[in-house]
Amino acid sequence: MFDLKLFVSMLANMVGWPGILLLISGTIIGMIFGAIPGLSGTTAIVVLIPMTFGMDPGTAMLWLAATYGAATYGGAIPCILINTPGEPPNAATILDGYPMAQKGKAGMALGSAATASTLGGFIGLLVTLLMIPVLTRFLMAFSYQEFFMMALLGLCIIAIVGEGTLIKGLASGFFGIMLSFVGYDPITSVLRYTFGIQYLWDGIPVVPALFGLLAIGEVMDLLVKERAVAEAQSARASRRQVWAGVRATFKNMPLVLRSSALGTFIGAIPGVGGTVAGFLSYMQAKQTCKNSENFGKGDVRGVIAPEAANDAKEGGALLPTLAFGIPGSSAMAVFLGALTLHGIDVGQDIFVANLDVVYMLILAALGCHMVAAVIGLSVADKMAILTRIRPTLITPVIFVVCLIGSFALRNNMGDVFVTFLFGLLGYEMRKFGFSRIALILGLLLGTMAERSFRQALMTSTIWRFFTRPISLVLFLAILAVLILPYVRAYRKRGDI
Amino acid sequence: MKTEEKVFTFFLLFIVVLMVALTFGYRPGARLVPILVGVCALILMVSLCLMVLFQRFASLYQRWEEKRHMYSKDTESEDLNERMREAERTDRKKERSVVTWLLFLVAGTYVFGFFIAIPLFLFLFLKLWAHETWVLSLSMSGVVWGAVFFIFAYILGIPLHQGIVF
Repeated sequence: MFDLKLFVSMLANMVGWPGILLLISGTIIGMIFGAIPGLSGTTAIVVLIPMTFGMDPGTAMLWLAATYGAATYGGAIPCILINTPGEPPNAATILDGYPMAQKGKAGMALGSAATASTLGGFIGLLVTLLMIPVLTRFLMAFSYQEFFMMALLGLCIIAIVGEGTLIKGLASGFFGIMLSFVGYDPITSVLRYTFGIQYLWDGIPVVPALFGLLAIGEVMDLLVKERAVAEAQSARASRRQVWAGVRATFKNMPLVLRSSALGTFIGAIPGVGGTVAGFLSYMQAKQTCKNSENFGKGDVRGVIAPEAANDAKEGGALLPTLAFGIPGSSAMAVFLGALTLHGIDVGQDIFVANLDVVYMLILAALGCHMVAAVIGLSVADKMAILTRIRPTLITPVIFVVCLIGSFALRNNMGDVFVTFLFGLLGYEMRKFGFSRIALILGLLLGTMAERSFRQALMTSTIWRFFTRPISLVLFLAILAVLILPYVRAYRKRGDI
Repeated sequence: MKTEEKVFTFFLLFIVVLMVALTFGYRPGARLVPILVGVCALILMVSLCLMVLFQRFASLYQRWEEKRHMYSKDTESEDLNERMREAERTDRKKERSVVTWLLFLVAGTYVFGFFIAIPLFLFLFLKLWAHETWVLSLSMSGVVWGAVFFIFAYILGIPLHQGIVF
C-alpha cells in the first residue's frame, strides 16, 4: 500500500542536506561516466559503492540511483556528437542522432535527447509503480520461446535500418550473427570458431567491436576526407536549436508515450537487454510515424523514440530486481549487490520491510532525470561545438579514448586489437555501403536468439513457439513488422 | 574502387565459407543454428559477389531496389550512389596513412604501454600529420595524457597496460 507520509518524508530527505548534494553530484558523475566511451553507469556504481559504506541505506541508494539514472542520458551524448555509443543500449540513438549532428543540428538532437530521456524515465517509473501487480504476473509467463521471439523481433530491424541496400543490410546482419557464435557454445560448451586462440573463448567482445565499427570507422572517414562532423554550411548550434529539440519532443508526445511504454515493458523482462528496447522502439517509430522515409537521415523522432525507451527501461528493470531479486541487466546485478551490502533483502518483503529505500530509489531516479535535463539543456549548445572542431584535432583524441575505453572494460590488450580490427572493418563497410548497425545487431542478439531457441527445443517441441500465447503474439508482431511496409506501399499504389 | 569492393566482398565471403565449413565439424547441437544462419549468410554473400562481378546481376538488383523504394519516395538509393561516388574520390594515400597512424598507436601501446604511447602518438600525429604548431601539439598531448591518467589510473584505479618492454 502506498504510504504517503513515508513518501513525503523521503522526498524531504532528498531535497534536504546532504540529499540534494548527493543527487546533483551523482547526476553529474553519472552523466560523465555515461558520456565517456568505455565507462558506463555500471562502472560508476562500482566505483561509488565503497564510498557508500558509511551511509545509511536510503542515502546510499539515493546517490547510486542518481548516478546510474543519469548515465543513460550521458550515453546519448557521444552517440550524437561522435557516432560512438557509450554502451550498446545507446546504439539506436546513433541512427538519427549522428546524421542530425552532420546536418549541424547537434543542439536540437541533444535537446530532444535530454527531454525524451527525462520524460521516458518519469513514465517508466510511474508505469512500473502502477503496474506492479499486472507486470509481475505477466513476467512469470515469459519463457525460452518468448525470449527467442523477442530476439528475433530485435533482429528484424536489420531489414528496416536504412544504411545501404537491403541485400547488404541482410548480409551484414547475418555476418554479425555468425560472429556472435564465436566462443563457447552456450548449451554444450563446445568451442566454436576460436582457431585455437584462447582470447576468443568468451566470444567477440561486443563493446570493443562497437567502438571499432562505429567510432573508429567514422573518425577514419573524417580524417581521410578532412571534414568536421557537422557540414561546413550547416547552421551553428544555438540555445534556440536546443529549445527546438525540446519543443519537438513535446510535439511528439504520443511517440514518447509509446516508446516509454515499450521500454518499460522490455526493461522489466530479465535477460532481454536494453539494446532490444532502443532498437524496437526505433522500429515502432519508423513503422508508425508519418513521413517515415526521413528516418535514418537525421529525423528528430529517431532520437526521441530510443532515448525515451532507454530511460524508461531502467524503471522497468527495477521491478524484477526488487520484487524477485532477478537483475535484468549487469547494472541491476551491481545494484542488487549494493542493496545486499547495505543489508537490504530483496524480494516481495522489500515493499514492506524497506519501503523507505524503495521510495528513495524511485525518488532519486525521478530527481536525477530532472537534474540531468537541466544540466543537459544548459550545456547542449556548448557540447555541440565538438561537431565543428577540425578533424585533425578531434580524431586522434577519439582514437585514444576508444582504445583506452575498450581496454578499461576488462583490462585486456586483446580488446584494443579487436577495436582496431573492427575499426578497419567498419571503415570498409561504410565505404562500400554495408550496414554497420545491422552487423552490431546480429552480434548483440545472435547469442540470445541461439541460446533461447535451443533451450526451447530442449524443453519442448517447435510447435510451442506458436501455441504459447505471448510467443504467438510476438511472432505475429514479427510478421507485421516485415510485411506491413510492403502492404502499405502497395495500398498507396492502389494495387490492393 | 570496383576492384577494392570486389576484394572486400570476397573477403567477407571467404570468412563466411570458412565458418560454414568449420561448422560441420561440431556436435549436432552446437552446429544447428550456425548452419541455418551460415547458409543464409552464404547465399547473401554469393549474391553480392555475383553483383560485384557481373553488371547484369547488379542492374537486376538495382531495378528491384528502386521498385522497393518507389512508393515511399525514399532517397536511400540516391544516397548510396552518392556514397559510392564519394568513395571513388577517396584519397588512397591518405587512407593508408591514417591506417598506419592508427596501427602505430595500437602497436605503440602494446610495446610501450598507454602512458608513453598516448602522448607520443598525439604529439607526432598533430605535428607531422596535421602540421599543427609546437605549442598546440605539446599542450594537447599533455592535456589528454593528464586526463587519461587522472580518470583511468587515479580515480578508477585501472591498471593500464605498461607495455611489453617494461
